[in-house]
Amino acid sequence: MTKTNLNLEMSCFQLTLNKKINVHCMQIYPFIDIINQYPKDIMDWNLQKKLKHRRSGSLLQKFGTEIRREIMSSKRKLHKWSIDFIGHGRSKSDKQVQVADIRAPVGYTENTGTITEQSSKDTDQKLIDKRSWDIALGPLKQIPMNFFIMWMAGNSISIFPIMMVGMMFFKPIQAFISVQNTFVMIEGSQAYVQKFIYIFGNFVCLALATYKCQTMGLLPTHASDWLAFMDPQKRMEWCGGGLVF
Amino acid sequence: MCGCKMTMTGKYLLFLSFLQSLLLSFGLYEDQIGKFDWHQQYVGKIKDVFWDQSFHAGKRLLVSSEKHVLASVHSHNGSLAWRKVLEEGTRGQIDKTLHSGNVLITINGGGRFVRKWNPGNGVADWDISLPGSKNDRADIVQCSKDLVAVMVQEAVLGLETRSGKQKWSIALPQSNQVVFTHLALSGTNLFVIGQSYGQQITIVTVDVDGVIKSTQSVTAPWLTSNTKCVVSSGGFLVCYRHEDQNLLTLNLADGQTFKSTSLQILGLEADDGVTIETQKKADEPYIFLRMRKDHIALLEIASHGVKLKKDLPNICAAQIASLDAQSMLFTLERLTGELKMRAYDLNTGGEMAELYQTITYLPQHGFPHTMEVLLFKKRDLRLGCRFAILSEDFSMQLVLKTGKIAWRREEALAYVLSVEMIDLPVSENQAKYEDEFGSHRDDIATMYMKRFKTQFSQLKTYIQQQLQKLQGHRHHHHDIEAMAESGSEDEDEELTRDEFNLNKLIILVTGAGKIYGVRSTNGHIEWEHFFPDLTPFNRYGQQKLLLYVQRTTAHFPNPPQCTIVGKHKATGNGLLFSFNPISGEAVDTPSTGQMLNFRIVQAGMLGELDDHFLRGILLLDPNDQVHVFPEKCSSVLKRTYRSQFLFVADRDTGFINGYRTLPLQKTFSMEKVWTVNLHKKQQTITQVVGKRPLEQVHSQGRVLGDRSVLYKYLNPNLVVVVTEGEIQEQSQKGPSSFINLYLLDSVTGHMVFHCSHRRAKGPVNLVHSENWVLYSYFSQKSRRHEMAVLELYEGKDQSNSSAFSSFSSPRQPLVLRQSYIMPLYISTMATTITEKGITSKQLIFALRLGGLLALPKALLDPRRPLLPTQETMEEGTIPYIPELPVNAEAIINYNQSLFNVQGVYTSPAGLESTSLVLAYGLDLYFTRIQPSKMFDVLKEDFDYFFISVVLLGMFVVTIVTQKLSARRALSRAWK
Repeated sequence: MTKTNLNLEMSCFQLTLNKKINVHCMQIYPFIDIINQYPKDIMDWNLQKKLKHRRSGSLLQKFGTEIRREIMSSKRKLHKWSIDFIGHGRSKSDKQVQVADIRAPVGYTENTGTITEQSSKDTDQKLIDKRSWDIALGPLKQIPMNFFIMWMAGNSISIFPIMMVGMMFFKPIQAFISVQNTFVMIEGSQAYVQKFIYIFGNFVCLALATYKCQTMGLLPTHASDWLAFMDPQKRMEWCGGGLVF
Repeated sequence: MCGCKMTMTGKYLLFLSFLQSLLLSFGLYEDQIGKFDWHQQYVGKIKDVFWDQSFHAGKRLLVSSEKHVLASVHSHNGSLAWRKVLEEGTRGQIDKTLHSGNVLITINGGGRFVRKWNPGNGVADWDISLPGSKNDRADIVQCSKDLVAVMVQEAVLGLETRSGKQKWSIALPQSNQVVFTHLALSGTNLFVIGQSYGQQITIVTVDVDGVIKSTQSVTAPWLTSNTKCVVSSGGFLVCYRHEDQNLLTLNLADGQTFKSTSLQILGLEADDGVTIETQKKADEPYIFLRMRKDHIALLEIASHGVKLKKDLPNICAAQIASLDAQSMLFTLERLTGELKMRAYDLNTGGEMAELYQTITYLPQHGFPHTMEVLLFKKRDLRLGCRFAILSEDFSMQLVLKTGKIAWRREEALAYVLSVEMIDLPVSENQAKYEDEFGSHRDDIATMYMKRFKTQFSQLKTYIQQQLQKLQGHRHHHHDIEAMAESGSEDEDEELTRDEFNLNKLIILVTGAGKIYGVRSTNGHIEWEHFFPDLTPFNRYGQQKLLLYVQRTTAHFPNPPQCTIVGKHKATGNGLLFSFNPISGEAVDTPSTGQMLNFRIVQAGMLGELDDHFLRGILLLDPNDQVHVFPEKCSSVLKRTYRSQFLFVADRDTGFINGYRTLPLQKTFSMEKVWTVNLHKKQQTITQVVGKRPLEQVHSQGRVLGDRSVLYKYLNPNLVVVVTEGEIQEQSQKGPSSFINLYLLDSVTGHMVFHCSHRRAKGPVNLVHSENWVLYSYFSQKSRRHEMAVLELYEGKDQSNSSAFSSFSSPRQPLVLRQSYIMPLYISTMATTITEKGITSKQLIFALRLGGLLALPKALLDPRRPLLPTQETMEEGTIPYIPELPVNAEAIINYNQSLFNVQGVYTSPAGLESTSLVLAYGLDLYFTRIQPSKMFDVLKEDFDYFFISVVLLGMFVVTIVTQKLSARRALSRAWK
């Protein structure tokens, strides 16, 4: 297994050399340091980015002693070499050390990363609010659609309308069940209002489904619906007789 | 116009599709024939029996019965070779049957029809109609090989035997008083005997060529219509005068006066019911005088008087048969459990020992009264005989081999009056289970032990059953033939309830005074009882024998109990017999029945059960005293007398009286609380129909199209009184008849509803169930049979949902009604009944054509709309079409025609979907029907194999795909 994997890795490596980089080659990690020794412009920036996300310690242990040694030396701070390519980790000192070693790829500017980071930090709160409002208003936004479906489904009781009604019931109920998870996502100053609106919207959806059931005649609201549960009347008098024998 | 047409077409299409869906369920597959149903054919009480002497000599018996049936019976097994059921009413009655050699001729309907039948296949060779007699007296004799003479009231006719062509005809001298009763042949002369009661006897002598030779009169001032007269062979008229117990004889050829012989002189003691029996076959002038059921005297008649040839005490049936000019007298003597048959040579008077035999004979057949002997010479030239025995209980038995009854036909089953179907008892194991819950006094340990024991025994029987099954399959094939030979008794397994309680024991009470317990699985008789003294109540031709189920099988360990209420033949007082319907054993009453010392006017059942779950019977005597049977139930009545009522409708007076019970010191009396006068002068009460007392109604109302509820008016005390009458209408020429229906609360006498049909005639067939009444009548106006239905509703609110009391009954119910055209003539009808009353109802009509037609109640629903709307479609009502559809698939007895159906009894089975049906009359037919299809059981053609293969396949596929997908996921993970 190891052999084949190595072969695979080798082929991957060859691919990298031929500038046809397969980003799905996970097995390439052990060779990263080798890659690093090659001129940086051969390396695709994208590959580096991918490699950052595909950290895997266990695989690394299986490979050749030299590589292993290299890796082992930095095992504790495995993220270090990934930071190599991104350039902004949490540990500033590490970055400083590594960045010094590696030259930036062609067309890479340190500034761009920082710029985006700063701008997103500014809009974060806005986005969170927007996102929260999206979540909160989601159920309410479905109502016109539900109305349309209700109208389309008609009042006859057949499999299709029943499925529709089932879905209409299912969605809000599901939302109620996973309401904790949803509330985690809702953050920001208006969280309480949003939560309330979210719940309210789901209630409206539920009410709509109930109304649909009502129009379809599925709700036991009439006396006729309880008729089957009525006990027969008790007989108070007994009478026999007939024509004279 | 066009739109209207469209809607009409649409309506019909809708209706047709609805019908299709309704009626498809009734169909029966060919291989299901005889699977759930059985059919038994009877002929009724046999009047005449002959040994077939034509092609099937000795192999068949020809019988004619008082139920207007002519039939041929196979002598080897008693099955019918053919059967001809003649018309109902007087038109079809068989006055006389003539059989000799190859000729079988009947006269029906008082000489209206003379028919010659082919004895081999029952085909009518010819049929002629004659004017008929006013008093239904007709006679026939065979003069020669190709001439028969027929006497009707006005004339004597000579008919050619081959073709029925009239050779000659003589008008008989008519006067007001003379009634021609007998036609006799002596030598070459025909004697026509006319009786003028209180005056004289007229004898008209006719030549075989149709020439009146002489007419003479003999004074007979003692002659009444009750005088029994016969013409014996040899040309003697013999009359028995009851008043002074004299036999009067007259020689028809030359006699001028009657010669009288006292029975005392002959040494005979006469009872009340002395009858004279002639001998068809003997040439000598012998007659039998029957003194009692078991005493016969053989008399010889000569011109100087009557001579006692042989006194036959203890003999209940006798016959003279001759072979090769040797006349023999055969006698039957009944001893306990057997019959002794002796034969005497008439010339020497000595007994013929070679023909003597004893035959095992069950006591429940009563006394034999007729025997029909076939004498023959065996191969070794010794004499042999076969004979048929007709007994008091209408049964016919045949002795083929010496000393053994080959078969019997229980013809009493053609006279069924009351039917009940009783649940079979649960199996022994099940009974133990029930026992466990029955006692409440046990502590936990004993209950646990009991439970353990029961379950252990259950396991044991299960294993035993499985073992038996394994072994049984091997033996089975050998046993089939053996079983077929040993007869029906041995093959029947013991009486235990089946899984779905579909098999019952049918209790049949017959007008012959015989009661049967019959298995519903195959129609075999489980037990039988014969009460010679029991007769039905008979009022205006309506025969009634009441059968009450006092305790059902449900109350283990108390055995079930039924009681028959009838009339004692001699005294007219009540006669009761209680028995265990499963075993047939008598309970509480002696095995011959308990005779009461009062006449029964009406009877009913108590509403409440006693401590042992027994429901008492109330018997009303003519002095308004009430008797409770059994006596021990009086305590129940004492407790609940306030809620116990009785009503009596008197056809003679037109009054209906309602009574309440009042306790006296020890007895009970009835106090009249209401009276309804239905004016006897204008109309007569023909029927009073209540509901079945223990009917279950599941749904208390009816759901309408707008989802509101129309509550049913379910008055358990409601009875329907039908009256018929005639009124003289001015516009009409003749009187026009009418029918009135009164719906009466039998507790309070409150008239709930009344309706009248003008120009309509009975007979009214009526079904009263739940909240509806369905009845049929003949509409004279449109000359067709019509069906009308009434449905009663309380309205949209229910006044009291928990109890129904007639004293606080809801306001006048809403009555919906509709009528329909019944395209066929029906003889009776009934409705299905199911365990819980959830299944929709079906109506079963017994058609005169021989079918049993089952129609859903939805077709006879007064809410059927004239114009269907959205709302009515929502409600599920079928648009109104006056004609009721008769679909061949709705005939539940497929091609097994039933004749003269007197009633249809339905009973619930353990399955809610199923109702058991028994049609009785001349035939018995049992089947089961599912009015709403079989919704609670898989159909028997359900493909278990296919389903299990599919399931198994799916299971395998699931496992395989799971494995595959796991592998794939892994390999994908490695990529």
